[in-house]
Amino acid sequence: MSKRYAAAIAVILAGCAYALVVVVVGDGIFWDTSVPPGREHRAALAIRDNVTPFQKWGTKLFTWGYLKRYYGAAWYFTQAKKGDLEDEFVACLDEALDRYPAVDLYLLAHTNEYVDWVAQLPVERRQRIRFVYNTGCHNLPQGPRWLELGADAYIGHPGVSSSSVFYCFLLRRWTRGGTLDDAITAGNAVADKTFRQYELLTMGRAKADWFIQESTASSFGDTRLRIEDCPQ
Amino acid sequence: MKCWLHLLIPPCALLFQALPIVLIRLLASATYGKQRLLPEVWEWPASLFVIAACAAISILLGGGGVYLLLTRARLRTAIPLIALCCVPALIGGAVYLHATLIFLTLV
Repeated sequence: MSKRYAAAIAVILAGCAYALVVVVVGDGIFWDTSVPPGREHRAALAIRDNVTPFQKWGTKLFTWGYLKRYYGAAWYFTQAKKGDLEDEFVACLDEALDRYPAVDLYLLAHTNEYVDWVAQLPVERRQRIRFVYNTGCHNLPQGPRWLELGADAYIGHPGVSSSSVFYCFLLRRWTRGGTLDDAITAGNAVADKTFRQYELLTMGRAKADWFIQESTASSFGDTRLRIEDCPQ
Repeated sequence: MKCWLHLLIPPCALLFQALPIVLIRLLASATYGKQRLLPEVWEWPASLFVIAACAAISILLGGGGVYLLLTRARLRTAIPLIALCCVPALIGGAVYLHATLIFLTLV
């Protein structure tokens, strides 16, 4: 075969492999990745609980790039044991709420009660908490309490959630300027598709319907919010 | 050696796919194991560099293997080696490339 044809086939195969991966992952490609306006007015805090080194590493690797790029300031905490870093987290949140009019919280932890940590802060400070995403299993019912504390919106999962799938899709959409509602709808839809693929892959041993029932995210509060909004 | 290169690169491309898994495990242990060996400030850039390098090497070995097989081997030798060794390497490379682009918030 001529060198030109061989080179063309090698490039086409590489392109097809990339297209296959994008289709299987299912989240598509965002061509417009520009930062929505008002970056200097918003901050984010994320906290990961004490899980395996690989899970801690993977969560930070994915999350950190988005927080750093789309927020004026970002802090990331990784716990080394249960209940760890309470003072550091609360002090940092206090500082963020003092400096920024909109602060988002990413609680990347199994069933948790970080809501009690945040409740220690003065009422007027807590009004600047904009959006809280909680990956914790059975943590959806915390929504009303977060709104009572001052958050404008809360997203959680109802049961034994496989929230990491949803979280990836949510963060990518929310930071690119979609409303929380759009991000939740799309995140749930792509997560459902992933669970169906997993059911196929395990030849029916893993039940997609169970994953969907336990994991589908719901929200409380104002889900028309966009990342550029500064609700008061 | 040179005349065997086209038969050597495809298996190397396939075998290389084990290395990223080992490297990722090592990185995770170095950052969040019992003792932190990698400073926190290096964690994110070093991890991204490793994943990007794995993408580049996988795609080069996989694509290079396809090119060399098609230009130097008979089709009945080339096609099975491409299917068994080069295509999995290209898919592995694509996974690491997509991951790199997602982590860099470029796509």
